[in-house]
Amino acid sequence: MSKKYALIIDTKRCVGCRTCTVACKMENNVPLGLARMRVFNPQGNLHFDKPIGVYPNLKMYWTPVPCQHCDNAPCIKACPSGAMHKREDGIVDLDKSRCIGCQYCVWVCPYNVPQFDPEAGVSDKCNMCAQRLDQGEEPMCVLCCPSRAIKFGDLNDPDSEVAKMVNQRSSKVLLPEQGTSPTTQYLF
Amino acid sequence: MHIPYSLATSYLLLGTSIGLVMWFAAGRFIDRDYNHQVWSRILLTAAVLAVLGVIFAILHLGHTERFMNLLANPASWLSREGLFAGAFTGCTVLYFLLIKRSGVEAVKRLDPLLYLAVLAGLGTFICMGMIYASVQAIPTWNTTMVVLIDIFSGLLLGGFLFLVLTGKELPGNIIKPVITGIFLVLLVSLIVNIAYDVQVRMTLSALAAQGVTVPSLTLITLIRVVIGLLVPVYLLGKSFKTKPELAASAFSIALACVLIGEVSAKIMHFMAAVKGPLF
Repeated sequence: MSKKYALIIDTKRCVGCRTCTVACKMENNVPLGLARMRVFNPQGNLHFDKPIGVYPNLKMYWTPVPCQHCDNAPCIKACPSGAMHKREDGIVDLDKSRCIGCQYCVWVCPYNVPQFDPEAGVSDKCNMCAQRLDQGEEPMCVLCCPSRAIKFGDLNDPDSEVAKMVNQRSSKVLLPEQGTSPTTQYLF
Repeated sequence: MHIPYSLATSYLLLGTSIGLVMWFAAGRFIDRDYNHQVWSRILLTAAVLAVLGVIFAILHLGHTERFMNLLANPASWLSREGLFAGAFTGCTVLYFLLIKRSGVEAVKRLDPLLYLAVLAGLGTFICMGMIYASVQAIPTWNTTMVVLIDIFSGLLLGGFLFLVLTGKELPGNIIKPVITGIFLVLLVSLIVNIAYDVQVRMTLSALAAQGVTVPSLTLITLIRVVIGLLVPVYLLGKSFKTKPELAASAFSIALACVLIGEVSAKIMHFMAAVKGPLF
């Protein structure tokens, strides 16, 4: 069976430090103003974290949002140049040398993952640090997360940690009604 | 969403060109034996507008030199639009060049090229609309009404430009049915646009209830409907009863109003592109 790499995010472990965002930017040389890994607070914002609820019943949680590496990715269908493609290991990758900068992927993604880089004239998105995976290393966000909230592995391998976590705990995907079948899953 | 002005300009230019060719084809269909220099003028205008439309579309790209990559994925509506728009522009330019070379008398002999241009134009309209109608992530776009709006937009712009270019010169047996056709398109467009505006408002209200920040579209909708559709309905309705000289000036004013309306519609289209909440 082919591999199906996925990121599994344990929201109970995430402390909202945004180390993943910074580590990703450094590893992938993400341009100023863009982020491949965004960490949303309870208000759905990227900044000014504050709890929800009324004292003393306050709640604080974060939701890291990388590319959802959808099985039915709308960005791949929409991309006219074929720059957006799915690798054999399930990663949705962007070939920047083919991208024409039409921004159609930016419109069609319900998760706002692809972002247009006006300096380079192309889109930019998370590719699960494919360059690291090809060398047998794990994605930078997984490596640098201090609370071990982001796990990486092969969902098709029943012995992998991520497959066991998904089977043992209740997991959810973002916007299931969009029909994109994301591989990135969230544990609650 | 920020408004991609070069893309919006490209849609207006290409849409006008396709509309113009379609009304020209209608004129040719009504009286196939009519040859006049005015046909050459229409084709020149359509060809220039189509070429400009393609240029503006390419200018929208982040990497203009890679524009041929646009045609690489036939499953993408954008690729399909590129193919059809290229075919339409090619047919229209070729048609004009052949008429220029062989004289306007050759117009009848070259009709198959015109039919090809019309089909490619229709394909461009459908793909242009489907690019947006297929975006499930943006609920205000995710409706087939967007396709109809694009078709009517091109037909109106092209129709009024046709009247401005030919109004004084075409014989009554051609111009009268064309004016009636444009009037009918205008009325149907008015109904479709009002229905779409209501749908957009309901969608935006639903998004606002989910905590999403939505734009106010009241002013731009008013401009679009009143100036872009109601004033042309009035002017065109009046032109049925006035003298040809007066009607010609009414056509020019109506074209300006339709243009203002269509520019507003394009701005509204991109302003209303709001995605739903992530969580």
